[in-house]
Amino acid sequence: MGLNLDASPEELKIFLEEVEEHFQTLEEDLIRLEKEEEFNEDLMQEIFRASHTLKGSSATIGHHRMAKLTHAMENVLDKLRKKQLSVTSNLVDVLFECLDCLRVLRDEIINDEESDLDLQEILEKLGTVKEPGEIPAATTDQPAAPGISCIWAETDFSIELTWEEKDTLHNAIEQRLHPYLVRLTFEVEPEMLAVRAFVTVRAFEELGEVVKSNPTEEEIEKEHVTDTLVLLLLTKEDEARVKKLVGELSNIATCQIKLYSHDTTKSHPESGVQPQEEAGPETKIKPVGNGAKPGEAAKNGAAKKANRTVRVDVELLDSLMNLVGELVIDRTRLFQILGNLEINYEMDEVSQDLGRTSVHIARVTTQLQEQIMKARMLPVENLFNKFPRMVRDLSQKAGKEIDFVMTGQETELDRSIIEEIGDPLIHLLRNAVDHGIEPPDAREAGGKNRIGKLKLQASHEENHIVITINDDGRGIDAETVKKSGVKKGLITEEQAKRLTDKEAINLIFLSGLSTVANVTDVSGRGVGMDVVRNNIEKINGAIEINSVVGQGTEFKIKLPLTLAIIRALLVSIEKSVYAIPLSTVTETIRMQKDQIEFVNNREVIVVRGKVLPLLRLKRVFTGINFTDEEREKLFVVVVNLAGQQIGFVVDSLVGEQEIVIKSLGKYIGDVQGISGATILGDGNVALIVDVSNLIKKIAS
Amino acid sequence: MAEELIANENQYVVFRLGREIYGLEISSILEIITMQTITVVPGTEDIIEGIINLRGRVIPVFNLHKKFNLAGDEITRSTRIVVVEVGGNSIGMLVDGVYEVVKITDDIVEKPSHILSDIDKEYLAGVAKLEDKLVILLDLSKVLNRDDAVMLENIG
Repeated sequence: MGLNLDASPEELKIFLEEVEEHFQTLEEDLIRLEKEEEFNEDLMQEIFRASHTLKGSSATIGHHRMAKLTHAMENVLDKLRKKQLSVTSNLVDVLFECLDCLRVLRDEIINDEESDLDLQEILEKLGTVKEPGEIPAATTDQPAAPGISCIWAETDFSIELTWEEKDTLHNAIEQRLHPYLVRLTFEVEPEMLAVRAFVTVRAFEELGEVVKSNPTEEEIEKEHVTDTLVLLLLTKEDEARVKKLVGELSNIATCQIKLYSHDTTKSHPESGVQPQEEAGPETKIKPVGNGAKPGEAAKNGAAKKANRTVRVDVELLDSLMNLVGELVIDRTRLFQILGNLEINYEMDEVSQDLGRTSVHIARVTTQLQEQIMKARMLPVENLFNKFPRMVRDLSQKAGKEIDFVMTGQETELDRSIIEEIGDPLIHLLRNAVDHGIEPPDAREAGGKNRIGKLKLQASHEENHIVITINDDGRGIDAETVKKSGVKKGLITEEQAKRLTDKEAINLIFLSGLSTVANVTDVSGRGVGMDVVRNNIEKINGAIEINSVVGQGTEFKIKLPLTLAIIRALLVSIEKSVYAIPLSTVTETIRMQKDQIEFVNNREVIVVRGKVLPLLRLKRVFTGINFTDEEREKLFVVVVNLAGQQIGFVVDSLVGEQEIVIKSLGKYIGDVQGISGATILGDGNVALIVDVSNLIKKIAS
Repeated sequence: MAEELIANENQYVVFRLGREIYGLEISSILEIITMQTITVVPGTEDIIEGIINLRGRVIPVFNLHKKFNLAGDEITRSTRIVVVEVGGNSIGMLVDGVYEVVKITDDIVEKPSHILSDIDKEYLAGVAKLEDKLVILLDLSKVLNRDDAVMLENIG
């Protein structure tokens, strides 16, 4: 089902972009609004403007539902602006809900398909916050007095009419019929609401014509009802007769009646926009008057930006990145050829010429690589933006007070990494709010500030991006984690005793520990932590925990700048070259065969007093047993992932190089211990060692 | 010649595998390259010889000898890698030598039979009787079918 919007694809594109911007503004500002104690007029104006522009532009493209919702939202915001309403968290909740609905409506445009979102509920909610304080409460909470009293309404409630309905109304008024707008609330069990609403509409129909009801008759039939019913009645009878009818009806809690007038829907100051917006299908083509201005201004803004930037398809960027990858490989290869050449013809002019050219090509390639990587970068802001809202909602639900601070939003990351890192971050933040930070009373009892601190930080460190999530909550108790680990059979009692606190805390990344239901009793962390770690390691990142009981927990996530090209240590095993991501390597050690000791029938070495389990990559990858031809000297590559260290025994070290990660392809699929392949300078293919997979293997 | 043009005619690349002559429709073949250094991927099935670098792309290479249980898969000077496309993936196949491209009309193609070939009938599209030789036509989609792919994916 198409939406039949009145806009070209180009216009929609601009609209969607614009809308996203406004959503963002609204979200950020609403959070600020709630936080700030004093009434901030500028902020309020900004919120109002954003919502107003949204209304204008959604009406322009002919998205009526969106226009309708923003219109209702604007009414509330206008009251806020005029201080007729005060900011409560309840109200902010409703506004946030509006925003969620708007997003659904926006997605309708993207999918070109109408969603099943029912605006009734949210419009109702907006309606009830319309009046300051007491009145909405009165309309719903007032006990049903015997012989229900009808109030001649001064309050502002209305009903949206289509063009035809207005026409009918207009004709009717000329025929001296009275249009009454009646608002009823029912006092009845929820399951009876639909029936009650149905009966009520029927009863009113005896007096005249019910032009429109809210919920509509279809909605009532489908039981999409609330305890409020608004209807527009056209009747010859007078007000007293209508009131009498209401008195005859049962289960009515409150009733408000007023004469319908066009002004009801025009009560807000921007009436200049109104006709155009209400006009519906007929006149939605050109924005007139006030309504046009914000939209136009935004379009001008977009045009200005467009002068400096060009929109590029992500696929194009990806393929550029691939091509640069090829160049990087050839660069390495060129130097190898040059090396060979120089051995034979060192003083030859041609080889020297080649040398100079190679150096230049290398430099250009490096720059090109950097630039294209930069082009693929996005500030993490895009990702972080949704977090304040999330933390706010979560903390409210959990009844906690949290001061959420974000820094380093401008830090840039490859877009593919941003896509991957979102879920793990959400998970960690959620854990911090749910389990890390204590309830206010508990915090006070523990001598801490009632308001918990949660920090999300992104920064650039050497060739990595580091994201830290820091809370000052209860921390993770290593002993409890150990106990749980033993209980779940993940580690033996013996092992538990030998674990350092840090190692013990890292146990929360084990899947068994995290999937148990009562993990909250253990440490508060853990639901799906294994997934978090897997996701991060999948993109060659690493995660580290530092936690002090009673003081808080810090998660440190180290991410590569890009997914496609990484630095790797090349090692050789049985004449094949393997690449180990350098981000996991802590050191390389040369040792004698007799330094190997055995613990539990497993090979280990002692490095600076620490026992390091060994894994013979040759045996893992080729099946050749190490006893076949034992060398005296062994090379050990020490790798570290999430606090777990093991040593890979390799035949020799080849060197360090930038490699371009290639997948093994669908036909080969997943291979134990191998995460992908890369092409070396000599044109041969090397396999990339899947460190996390191997560490898991040795752990089990 | 004129008659051949009227009949349904396809071009086939003819190559040797063990003792027999096989043919593959030319449209399924991307290119034929000389032997490359093949990197063995540990933990994969026998029929996957390994992976190679095809101008910056990593593609798997199949060993048809092992797939069809044929004798003699020594690498010689005439060994070639036939790169084909199946289901959007480029895949290399080791063959013992590539001879020529021939035109084969439908009317000289017979139904596959066990007697004519050492390999399983299901992989064959037919047998073409040329003047001087028999060419066994392979059904590529069956040779490198999805079941294999699924199976291979499950090895990990």
